[in-house]
Amino acid sequence: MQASHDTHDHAHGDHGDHAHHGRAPGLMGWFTTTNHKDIGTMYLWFSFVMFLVGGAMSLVIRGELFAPGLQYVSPEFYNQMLTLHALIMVFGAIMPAFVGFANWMIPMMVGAPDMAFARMNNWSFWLLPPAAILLTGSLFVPGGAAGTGWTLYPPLSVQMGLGMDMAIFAVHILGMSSIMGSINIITTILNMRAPGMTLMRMPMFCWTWLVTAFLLIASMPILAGAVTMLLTDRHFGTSFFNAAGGGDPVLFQHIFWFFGHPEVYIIALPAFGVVSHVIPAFSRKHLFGYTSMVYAIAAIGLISFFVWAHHMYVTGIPLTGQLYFMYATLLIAVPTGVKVFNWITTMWRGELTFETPMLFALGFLFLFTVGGLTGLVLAITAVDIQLQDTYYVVAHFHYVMVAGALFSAYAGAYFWLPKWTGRMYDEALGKVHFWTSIVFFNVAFFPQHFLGLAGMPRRIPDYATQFTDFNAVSSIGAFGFGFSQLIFLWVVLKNIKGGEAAPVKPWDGATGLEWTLPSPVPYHTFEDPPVITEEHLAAAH
Amino acid sequence: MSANAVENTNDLDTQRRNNRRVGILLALFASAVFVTVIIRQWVSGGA
Amino acid sequence: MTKDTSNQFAGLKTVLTVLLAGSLAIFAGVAQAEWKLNLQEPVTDLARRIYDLHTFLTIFVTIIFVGVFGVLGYSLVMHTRKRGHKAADFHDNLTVEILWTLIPAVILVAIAVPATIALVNQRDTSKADMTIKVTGYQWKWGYEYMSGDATGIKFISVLSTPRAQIENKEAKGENYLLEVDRHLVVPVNKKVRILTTATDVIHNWSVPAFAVKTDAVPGFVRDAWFKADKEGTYRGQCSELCGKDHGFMPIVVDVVSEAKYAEWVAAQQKEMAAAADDPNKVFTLDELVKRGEKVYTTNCAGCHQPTGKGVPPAFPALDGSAIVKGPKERHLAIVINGKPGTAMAAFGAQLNDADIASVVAYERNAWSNKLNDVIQPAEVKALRGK
Ligand SMILES: [Cu+2]
Ligand SMILES: [Cu+2]
Repeated sequence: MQASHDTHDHAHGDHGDHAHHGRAPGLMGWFTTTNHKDIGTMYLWFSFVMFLVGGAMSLVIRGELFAPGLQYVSPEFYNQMLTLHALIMVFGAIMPAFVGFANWMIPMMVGAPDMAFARMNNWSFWLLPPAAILLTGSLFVPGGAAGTGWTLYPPLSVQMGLGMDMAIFAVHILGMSSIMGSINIITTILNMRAPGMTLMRMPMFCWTWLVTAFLLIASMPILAGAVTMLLTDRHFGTSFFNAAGGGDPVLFQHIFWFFGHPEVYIIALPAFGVVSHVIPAFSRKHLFGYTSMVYAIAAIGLISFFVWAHHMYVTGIPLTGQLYFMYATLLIAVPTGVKVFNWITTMWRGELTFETPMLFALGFLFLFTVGGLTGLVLAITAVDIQLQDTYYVVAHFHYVMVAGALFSAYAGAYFWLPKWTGRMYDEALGKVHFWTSIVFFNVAFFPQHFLGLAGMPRRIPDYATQFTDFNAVSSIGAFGFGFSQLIFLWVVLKNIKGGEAAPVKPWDGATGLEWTLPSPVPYHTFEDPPVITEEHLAAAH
Repeated sequence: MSANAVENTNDLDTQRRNNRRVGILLALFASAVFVTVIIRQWVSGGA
Repeated sequence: MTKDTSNQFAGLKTVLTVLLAGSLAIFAGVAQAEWKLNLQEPVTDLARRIYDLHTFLTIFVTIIFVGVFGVLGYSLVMHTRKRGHKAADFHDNLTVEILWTLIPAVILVAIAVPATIALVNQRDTSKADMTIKVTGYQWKWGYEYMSGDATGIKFISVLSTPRAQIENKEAKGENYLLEVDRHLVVPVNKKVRILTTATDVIHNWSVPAFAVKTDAVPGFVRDAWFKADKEGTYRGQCSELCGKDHGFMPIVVDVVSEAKYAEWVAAQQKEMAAAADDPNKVFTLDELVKRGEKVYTTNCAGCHQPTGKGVPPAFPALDGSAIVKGPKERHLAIVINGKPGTAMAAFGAQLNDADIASVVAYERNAWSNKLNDVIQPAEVKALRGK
């Protein structure tokens, strides 16, 4: 999304050994670049393309569910769609989007010239396209893609064909990429901060990514281990998850969710970080309670490893297990509440304006709170028994994920776009994008709470006629929401082609090191570490 | 790691050495987690 | 950029109008259509307790939501640049931060108490009046009465919605996708213990009116219970993705009076005695094919298709298949023992000797497989356990 790379900053011309000429010309340049801004741009574009692919799949699902009966797809294909939709959205769209933000912003926020391991950075990006090809390509092999849901539970996943092996391989590659990216981020944050940028003066976005990167390094290998055992069960005669051979299929679920719950916060924490920058900027105030927010993030990260079996209340885990996981899950609501209260107090008695980034941040706050509160309902084991594997859960996690991730990613994209391209985006279009998104999102997902309560199971291609009306409403909302996202593409393309030049600080309330750099940001920044003074610090510190 | 100990000192060699140290440590940790998950399942009766 | 702040709420107004119109339309619809907004009507004490707990929680979270967003809403209206409000720069206040950590923590403890009581109750499967074993198959349910007068009654329960309704060639019936050929029947006011297991993949036996939802895990047995206090027919669906026809394996339970239950048990036992095949009976090819076609339609056609063409590669074709046209011992062995790692189940546990003999004979004589093979139940019996 960086429009022009020929604005070299020759002020830092005294490092003879490394390139000052920007990226190599043409396509080859993108393959070989080690510049954090180039790589960030590629991550962001990649994630947006995957978002559209995964979104198209969700429209196949919602199209089929518009009316009862089987209309367009077979049940097998339906299962493949819901599986790939989830895998692509989680691993292809949301996670890379925030790695893209991290690449762009972390070096600029801590005053580093680039990421710690620039060549590894190139690798962690270029692993993604092959994984994406494996995932989408699996649709076209005999037997099609995995039709197990993104949870890949055996023994169902052992029954699947070649598509399953491709998905497993893709997960391995994506995991590798995430781990490499995380190592890079942690090292950059710990080792490359400019003098005076102490950890407790660091902007909130860097803090959320520091914790997230540790979560990734601890949890991705767990997923990799789980799918590796799945692979050997499928092909090499082991029976980790096969009762007949002394294994236990539920064991896979324990391992999967031991990864899977931290994964929820891997997605949510960087989103919290972005919002913690946008809200103070448009409130013209300091982030209320920086220190307590840092502690809340660390607490959420830690507790997220001890609540996994709340996804498994109906698998027959012992009563003591159910009780423990219920209490632990309730506990995680406390630091999450602290964060919400902090954001609201930050806005209290501010000088609020409502440009697109702020609108998306508010949308995030609204949807995320709804999703968090239904999460509280689901945490109560006895109630969860009625709601587990119904559309209530589908509604809940879309409120958390789409709000937690997508809305905050949009808030960040609109917020930093002028810095990246050096031009203002079309504010009116941005507002249309926001309002259509939030309205259609609620039309699509709010009725699903009612469907779940009435007992409609998830992951079914056809349903009893009593569920017809809400499904029709939900499908209309989904199509509206899907097509609204093309407005964003329009905004970005328009912004790249032209527009009003952006000043150094397009938002009068924005603070932090990145806003001291020219717009667009030069290809190389902070080759000489800046001296950090009070006025360089973000309000989000 | 104390907050100020390893800030960007602009001494490229020291910096690279420090980076490599942290990176290798983290990579080892990730590998250890991977191996542990599988071995734990192996000894607990699966496979 | 703040150039747009003058009409910052113009968009909001339009949206609110649309929302209002939309919700009015929805409420108008509620009057006519069946827009169910809440949990199904509970018919057990436990389900009622959970219903109330859910109502309490929903009201509680709504109050929190309104409170939190009321404060935010006030701020969004009053503390704006448009109104000329100037930012008051304050941050960090230990007292406030301790309070908003502690108060939610205390509230959560208060919620945890009734939640714990309900859960302990839910898991107490002791002192049951009767026990029924429920087995999940791809894609049907097997029921077996394990205790009481009905001991020994066992049957398979399959979706009875006609294919034509699913494919939109026929109007959908009242209980579309929620109807089965054989209902599970239990007496009212008796504590029924359910043991779940499965043979192939994980399924989940769920009946919302009883607040029962328990995974059926292959190779393991889980349990749950219910004590329905209202006669009637209650419906549920498999609630764990189990492959292609996961959406097509419903659960139907009839809760009947003690007297009706006794009648049903007697009728079942009579029917079972009558249906018991004489193990030494010798079938003709015609008899086999006729009986086999029925067995095929309920058990095999879901995957291998009525045409025998299957859905390769997951569900291979039987028409012209090497196995079907090969030695019959091998064909029988696959039907009896299944094929591990695929969706092909071991039908030895589900079907009796005569059924297996006839379905294999049917497959060997249907479509283009005109082998003229006759298979007798005795041959199946001989192969079992090999
Ligand atoms: Cu979780
Ligand atoms: Cu199922």
